[in-house]
Amino acid sequence: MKRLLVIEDGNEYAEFARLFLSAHFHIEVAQRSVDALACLRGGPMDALLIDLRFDRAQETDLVGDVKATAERLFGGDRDRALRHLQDQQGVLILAELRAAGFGQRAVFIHEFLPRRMENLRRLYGLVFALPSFDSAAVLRALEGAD
Amino acid sequence: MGLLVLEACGGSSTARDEQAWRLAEKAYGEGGDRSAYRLWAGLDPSGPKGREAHQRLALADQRYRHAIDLFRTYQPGVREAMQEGLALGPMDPAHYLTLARLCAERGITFRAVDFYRKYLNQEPAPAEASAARLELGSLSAGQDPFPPLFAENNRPLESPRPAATPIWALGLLAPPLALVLYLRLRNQRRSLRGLLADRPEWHPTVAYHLGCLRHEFLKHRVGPLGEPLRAIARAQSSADKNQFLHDRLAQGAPMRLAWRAQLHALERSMGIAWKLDSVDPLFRPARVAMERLGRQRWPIRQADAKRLLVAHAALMTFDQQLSDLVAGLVRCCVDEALLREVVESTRSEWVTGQVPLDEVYIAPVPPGVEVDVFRTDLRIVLKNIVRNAIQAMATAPAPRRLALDVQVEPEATGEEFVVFRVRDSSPCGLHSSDSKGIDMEHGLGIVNTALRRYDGSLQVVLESDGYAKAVRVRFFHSQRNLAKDDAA
Repeated sequence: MKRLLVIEDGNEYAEFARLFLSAHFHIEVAQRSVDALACLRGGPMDALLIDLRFDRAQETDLVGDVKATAERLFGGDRDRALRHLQDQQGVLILAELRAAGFGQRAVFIHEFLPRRMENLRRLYGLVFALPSFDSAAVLRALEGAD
Repeated sequence: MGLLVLEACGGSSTARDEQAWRLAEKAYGEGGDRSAYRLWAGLDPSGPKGREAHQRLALADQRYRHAIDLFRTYQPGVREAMQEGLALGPMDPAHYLTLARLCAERGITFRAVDFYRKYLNQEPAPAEASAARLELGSLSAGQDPFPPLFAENNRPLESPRPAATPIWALGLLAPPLALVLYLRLRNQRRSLRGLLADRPEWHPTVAYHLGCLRHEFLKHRVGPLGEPLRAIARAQSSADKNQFLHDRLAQGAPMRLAWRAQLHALERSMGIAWKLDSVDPLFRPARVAMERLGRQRWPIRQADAKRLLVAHAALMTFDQQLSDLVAGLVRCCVDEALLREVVESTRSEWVTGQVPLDEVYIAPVPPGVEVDVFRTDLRIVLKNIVRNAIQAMATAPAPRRLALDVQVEPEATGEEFVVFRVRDSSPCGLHSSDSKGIDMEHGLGIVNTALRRYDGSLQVVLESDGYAKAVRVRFFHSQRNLAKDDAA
């Protein structure tokens, strides 16, 4: 059976995947970038289902340096930098996974603008996004039948 | 004139003092008398009334100056400070010119024109009058994007009030019709869409709160209900799918409370006292759908699931409507004309106009660049930076070179930044590496306020190729032109 890695800070994606995708995928779950890397290094994985916002994650668990981001992007404002890193965490985790050599299909439940989607594909290859938790559509995206 | 009449009539000094005071107070009380300030200031300070008038003028002047400072630095409390000043006494007409210029700089044309006219009506010295007339003439007619900033009467400005409905005109036979009409008019004025049309300054905050509502409630709480409901409706459910549905519908914070918490945050951010989901035609059907989902009893039968799917679809439609609403909020198209306008407008100021520049270069702007910033605020930010650059070059050796360009820089998140770069040939100001380090006296306090409001940032960096430094102002590229990016 194919294997799916769900990456999120809560449990909604994992629950959804177990209920509606488990007939097609064995589901693994990671809540941080390091856990995701460990999973991927532990065995073959066919696809990634990634949450975008990690607003429940601890600052220490986030990919990205709050202080450096504050200085680079937000005139030194840590709060704005932290919010930015949380809001975009899913993509930053994907960046880490790609940098580590993992190129699996990645699916987000999110409506990215076409221009941003183009950027994401240029940066990270096989990236797909769906507007809602529609199991048939998610399955198609994960399996590459879209 | 009043004082001359009193002189001619003679009488005791106390009586004259009283009479002059009454005349001055009456002129101010009537509101339309432009000479009120002159009358107050002309009162003899050796008399009790004159003394009081001068004291009140001094106190009022403090409040007016405070209000202008607040306005200049984008701080709240402008109206309150103005009201306090107005309660004490008339304003020194010289302030009208300051206000007119500030309003003109921010593109609040309607108010600027009003203040210029008030200033000119005071018959200022010919040189000042001539300058003010020129500035007034250069204002392009444009729609006032803001509500009146300075109330000159006691009319409350906090919340738009419903229009009075002429119930009497409808006659006694049609009171229900009048009531319906009244409520409709009132609710139109109270709808989020209507409020946003009147208050563009709310747009950034509202966009943020609508993003939270869509993410927390609609995407994560409501969105996943569709699959298990469809399974029940098709008689294909299972115990774990039912449990999943139960967890989303009935566990944790009750749905109604979760909804209200999101809306309350939005309402509070705008300072409105009514519930949007009671009056707004966009929110009301969504509330009805949410309540239908929230009060569903267990177990859910096939027929119930079909009804709940209708409510679910209504909330998904609502999500799309919010997305469309956010798409229409403020954003500014960045083009070469904007940069040119900034440079020309700054160069038209007397001080910067005196600095000879050997080269001014404005680079072509890439197509399709947009930022979520009011055009007027963007102009203020860029004008301040251009002004500082030109003034810094006043003491620098020739050749004095100024250049503006716009670059789009991609981020690892797939987002993009729009970077406005202002380069000049003066090394002055290189000690600062970011907006926090820059001398606030150079007008950059205003810049910082605007940057905070729009998630922007500023950096000063070393340059080469005939330039000494560059100020880089960075804003997020607008992600809202197709309206899909607020509920990650």
